[in-house]
Amino acid sequence: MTDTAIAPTAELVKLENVVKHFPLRRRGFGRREFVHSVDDVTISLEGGRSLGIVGESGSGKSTLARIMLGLQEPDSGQVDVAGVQVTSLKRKDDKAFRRKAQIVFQDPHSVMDPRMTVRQSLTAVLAQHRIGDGPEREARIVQALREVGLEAEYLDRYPADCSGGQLQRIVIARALLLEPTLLVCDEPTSALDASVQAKVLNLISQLRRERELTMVLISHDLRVVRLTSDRVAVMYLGQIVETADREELFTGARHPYTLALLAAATHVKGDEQVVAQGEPPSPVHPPAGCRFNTRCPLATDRCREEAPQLAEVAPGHQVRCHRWSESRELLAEITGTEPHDVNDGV
Amino acid sequence: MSVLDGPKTITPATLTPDSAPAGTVTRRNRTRALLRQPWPLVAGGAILTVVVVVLLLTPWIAPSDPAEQDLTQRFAGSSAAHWLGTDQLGRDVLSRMMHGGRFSVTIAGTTVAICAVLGTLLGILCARVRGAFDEFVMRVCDVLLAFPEMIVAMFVVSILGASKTTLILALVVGGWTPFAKLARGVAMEVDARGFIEAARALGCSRSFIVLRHLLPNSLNPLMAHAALRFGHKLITVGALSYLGLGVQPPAADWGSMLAAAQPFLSQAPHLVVYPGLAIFVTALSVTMIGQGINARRGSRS
Repeated sequence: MTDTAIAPTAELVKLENVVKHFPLRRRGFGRREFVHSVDDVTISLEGGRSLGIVGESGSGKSTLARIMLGLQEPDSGQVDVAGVQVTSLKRKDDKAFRRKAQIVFQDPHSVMDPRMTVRQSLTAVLAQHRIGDGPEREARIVQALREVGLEAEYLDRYPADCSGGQLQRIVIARALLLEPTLLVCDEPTSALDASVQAKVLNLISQLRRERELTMVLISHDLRVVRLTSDRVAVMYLGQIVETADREELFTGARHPYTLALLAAATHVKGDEQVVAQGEPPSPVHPPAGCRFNTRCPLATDRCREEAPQLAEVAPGHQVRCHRWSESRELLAEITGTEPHDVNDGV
Repeated sequence: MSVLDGPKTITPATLTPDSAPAGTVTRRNRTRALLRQPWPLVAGGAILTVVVVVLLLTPWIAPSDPAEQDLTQRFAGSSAAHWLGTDQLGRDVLSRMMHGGRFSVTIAGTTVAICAVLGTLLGILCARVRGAFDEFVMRVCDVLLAFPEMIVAMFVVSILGASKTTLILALVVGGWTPFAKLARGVAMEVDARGFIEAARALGCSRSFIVLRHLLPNSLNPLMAHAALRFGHKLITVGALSYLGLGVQPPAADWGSMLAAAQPFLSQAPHLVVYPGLAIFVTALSVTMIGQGINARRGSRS
């Protein structure tokens, strides 16, 4: 499936040096500690394109999504979405911004008010934005449900009476009621049964094409991102470690962590995994030097001391690794597989 | 016209018939809908309705004057003339209970309602605003909670003098705090749930989020607490009357009847049993209603 048919337009999402640290509750008289959730992230996305953000849990993906939507205030950095300075959003401009950028969260059961019927939940959105009158709102929500493949009979149901897949469709329909230009999807399928994940992903891709949406899709699963994104950014402990166009990333990844994720995506249970063993270190005390050095099979003394910067290794392909030029070959030697193998069957 | 035009043909006119039957509920449907409710709600509602109807009709149906004494008939048991017997002054217990209940139930009901509304509003406001306001309200709560409710009420009544209004005021001063604390805790919990953030992301106004999302989802524990408090208040009103700060003799309420009967416990136990039963049954019916509401709402979340 190719989504490149949409012509890229001007920059729609622009994040510059965004930092977000969450303070931890102080224990005793020690220094106050922080979770380094997002550390100096710069992202730029053109209108009509879709960006996939990949990383393990705790890598700061969801925080990044919330910052983009102005649901969380970054400690520093610029956030510019659809021409709106999100960080200094005034309350009176809030509604206008919400009509440009919408988000679909991970767990559809938690984001629907359990005491409202689907009709009430959806109508409320239109009423809050003063769109249409009674009958027109009704027609719009019926149309919105139809667009995500659900019949009008769902309108009188409560969220508890819907399955996860149905509810996620309803959540998507609700977000699209405002006809946004940017849709952020934060792990849209990971709370769903495996059988409906593909259907919901296809729906998202289809809606994106039909509505020419700009999209940011956040997932821990490379396969999801491959299905839906033009561009991919890989996050590790709050930093972007590699970013490239989709094909480039899936065939020519350079960062050992990306390569580990790619290998994991094709790994069968029981196979030994050489790269990226164990759990990621705590984001409260990120390791000195390269943050991946504790799990990287290629780590040297330099990696443990000096933090690498994002380096442009090819047009549009940036890597945060000291050993990017030799990483693929070295890792292939260690694992005994050709680097290209990792792409088969992804 | 192509197939793609399909959805556009949906007009308001085609939608209205679906929603129309909602307005034409027959009596039988209504009865059936009532019986589908959880049984504690139905039973509690039935008991409370009986109590309230009896109390409303008391001036017309009470068998005799509650203050009329007949010293020859002291401590009489149940008879055709005095269904529930007579007290130490030969007054008709049933009539006294019916008249007293009007006072008890009105005061307790009004007080709990005011406390619940006031406490809930303040609690939710604290949870949303946080900061200095929250801190201030919570410290005021702590101070009021440090004194027993009775002491606070006695203090207020002795300053302002005994009347229905001051009694309600006195009970409210000490009574709103548990509601505020509870509402604050519950609201904070609900506020952290996904649909609140989702509503914010959808551009819903703050008042909408508080009134349509936060409040309805916080109501269950508060209603259950209100039902509990109602029974408690019935007793407190009686205790204040016993101290001469509530209802003034010769009028009585259930609590003061209990208190007055105390010296004659072994001689005439029915003087304690009947008012006690009245408090118990009324409080129970309200508690059952609270539970029933819980069960009904709970099934959806």
